[in-house]
Amino acid sequence: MLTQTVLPIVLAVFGVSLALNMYRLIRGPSLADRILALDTLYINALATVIVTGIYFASADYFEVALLIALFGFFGTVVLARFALRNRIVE
Amino acid sequence: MHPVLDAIVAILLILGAAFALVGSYGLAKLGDFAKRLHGPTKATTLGVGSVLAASAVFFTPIARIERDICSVRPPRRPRS
Repeated sequence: MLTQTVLPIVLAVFGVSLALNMYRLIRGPSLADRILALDTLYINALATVIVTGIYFASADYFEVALLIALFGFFGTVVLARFALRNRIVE
Repeated sequence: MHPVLDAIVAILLILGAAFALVGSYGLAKLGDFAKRLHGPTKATTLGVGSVLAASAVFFTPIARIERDICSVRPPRRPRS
């Protein structure tokens, strides 16, 4: 019962943090700021998906979280490589 | 669900949300790039760790069994 009371507040707080990440992603002065904001954004989206899975009491959301983590990490690596070498494929 | 497990899940969720909010606020508010880098790294790691620990407690077999029983069966009458 306590969890059911807390869950909408937790989702709202994660929504605020996602909005702050989007602000830095749009506003960021350099490319490194945008890469960092995108990294934080996918991590917060992953946590939001996990909290949604707790909210609906369904374990099917773990696959979604796993895929978000995998592709988010891969995207961060590719963006860092692009920022360093100015090309993705050697 | 058992009240102790319920309280543990709620506390871990609040902790994770607070960590994520602090990290994102530091990312949006701090001045330099290095300051912005050190803010959300630790905070988001701890926040996602707390949320995953809460989900691990929430989806343990004991909690799931108690939740399914409580959701299916009507409340038990006290024996006279």
